[in-house]
Amino acid sequence: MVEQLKRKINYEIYLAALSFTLIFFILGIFTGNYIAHKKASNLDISQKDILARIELLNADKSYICNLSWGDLWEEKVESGKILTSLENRLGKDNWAVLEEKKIYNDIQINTLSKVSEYKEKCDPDWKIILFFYTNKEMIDGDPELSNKQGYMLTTVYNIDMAHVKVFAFDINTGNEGVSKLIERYNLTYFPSLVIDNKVYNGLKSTSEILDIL
Amino acid sequence: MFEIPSFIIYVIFFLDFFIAFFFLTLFIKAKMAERQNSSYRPEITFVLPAYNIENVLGKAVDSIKKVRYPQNKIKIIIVNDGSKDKTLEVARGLAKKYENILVLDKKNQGVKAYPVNFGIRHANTELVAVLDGDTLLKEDMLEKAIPLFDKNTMAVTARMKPLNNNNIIEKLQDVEYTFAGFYRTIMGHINSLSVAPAFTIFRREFFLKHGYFDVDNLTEDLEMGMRIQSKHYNIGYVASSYAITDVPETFRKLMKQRLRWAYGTLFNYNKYKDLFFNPNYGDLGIFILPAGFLSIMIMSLVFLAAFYTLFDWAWKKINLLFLGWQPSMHIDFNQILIYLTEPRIVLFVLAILVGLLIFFLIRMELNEKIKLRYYFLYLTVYLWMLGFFYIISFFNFILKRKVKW
Repeated sequence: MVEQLKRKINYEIYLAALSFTLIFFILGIFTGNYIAHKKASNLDISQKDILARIELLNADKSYICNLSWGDLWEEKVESGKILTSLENRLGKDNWAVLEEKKIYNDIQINTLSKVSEYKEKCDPDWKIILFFYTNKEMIDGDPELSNKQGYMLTTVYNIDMAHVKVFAFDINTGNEGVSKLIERYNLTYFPSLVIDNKVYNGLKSTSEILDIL
Repeated sequence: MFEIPSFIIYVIFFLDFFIAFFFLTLFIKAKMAERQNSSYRPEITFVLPAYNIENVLGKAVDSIKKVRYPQNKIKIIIVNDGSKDKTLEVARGLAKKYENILVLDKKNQGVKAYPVNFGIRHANTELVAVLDGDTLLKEDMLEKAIPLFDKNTMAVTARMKPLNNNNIIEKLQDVEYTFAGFYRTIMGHINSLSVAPAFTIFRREFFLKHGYFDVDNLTEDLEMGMRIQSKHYNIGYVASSYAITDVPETFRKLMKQRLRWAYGTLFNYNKYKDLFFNPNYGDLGIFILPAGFLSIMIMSLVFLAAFYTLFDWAWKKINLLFLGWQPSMHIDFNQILIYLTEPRIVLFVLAILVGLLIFFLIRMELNEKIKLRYYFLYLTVYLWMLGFFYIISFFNFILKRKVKW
């Protein structure tokens, strides 16, 4: 005669499994965040270095056409890429990202004034594109279109890196320099492009931008 | 566009880790100790339902005749289930060749449970082994299985291996059966097993007391396993030997089989819903059954989420291509590194590491030489495919659509 089982619950196994799960969760989240914040702090150091060098360049009173740009432009572009990655990774409202964005905007404003002066006086075959975008839903702005415009500009930049100089500005960072530019060009919708001082509202495709250039 | 909320992904990871660590902890605790009752040698009847298996029936009977067990205690009942080929003639030939073989003939009623029940009703031994007509047994199967019948054990089931391992569909099922073998071994230690479809030995008294296989059930073996568990009896498990069974060799056949299994699983989970979260059923009630159902849900959700994400990603990229976007071939390691620090990605990597740990444990404990590339395919393709089958089955179940054998 077969007897019925006396069933039991192995509580110790549940406790062990829960402990291992919590350890893995904490480990996973902590490691990921630690590396991301380490990257953000590295970006902070390199951006401050770029900013200092641009300020030195601005203070240089020698003839502008003899100025050496060095790797400054490439470093600025690289900072922008890392910032975009951090924005995707940590979130657009993350404090570390917003802090770095403020510095990045300062770099852009300072570089823009020098690049504009260089273009005016030394006549290089450069095309300056100012890109004003929003990451937030607004009555006069669309984050989805702004995102798409970013892809188009990356393509344009990759096609002609030597001559195209793109400056991208998030309009929601509260940067005074950015506000002045918006006012100066009388921008009313985002995304907007300013190419050689002419304003283009709304999304522009790669071919449209190339035609303008 | 709709985005899958992060907390759902974290909950899925949490459950995934918890289930994996539950089994790993249990594995360490149990270390595969098989209970033994070595002097027990009762008579046993093998019931073989046979439908159009003229080519393999002989091999199946030969494998039973070769098992190491007193042959005078073994009886075989072959039930020809209205075969259209020469199965009946082959069966009669085998009855002339060997002693203790009874051949029964009945008309086909479309469901395996009919010939199986017909065979069991003609058996008069203490134990009855139910197997598919094309299942092959290893010689040591009964030596390993019979001693597992202790005072609480109503049935003993065994590890299954696919007969063929030639094409990719069969190789992936081989990985699946091996993993199932490992999990079943562990589940056996907390009395939470069901029975295997192609080979299980039962005490005949269970059929007499609690009824035969359910002929209205698409997965009558699963139902029988749950019925045994619901009556608080144990089901033993042989991990150190195995039975060999034919598996679907094409996607179409696999899909047909799995749609039936998935529907049957949902049907039987519903039929025995009283066992779920019921502490009277110990670990089976509070963890194994809910975790089984959760795994099905997770598999289906992951399939849906992956399909949606892929579709959404492709749609966005196609839109961008129309606007003149040219993807850059340049690989930026900084960007990749930052992307990899995303906690969900880190947890995904950790989940893969836990999966690899289980993979190597299985290779070691079951002495199976599964190749890592097939395990990878199993994780990335096969499990998603099962998720897809379960989604269809959910619809079939909710809409009460009939699924055929």
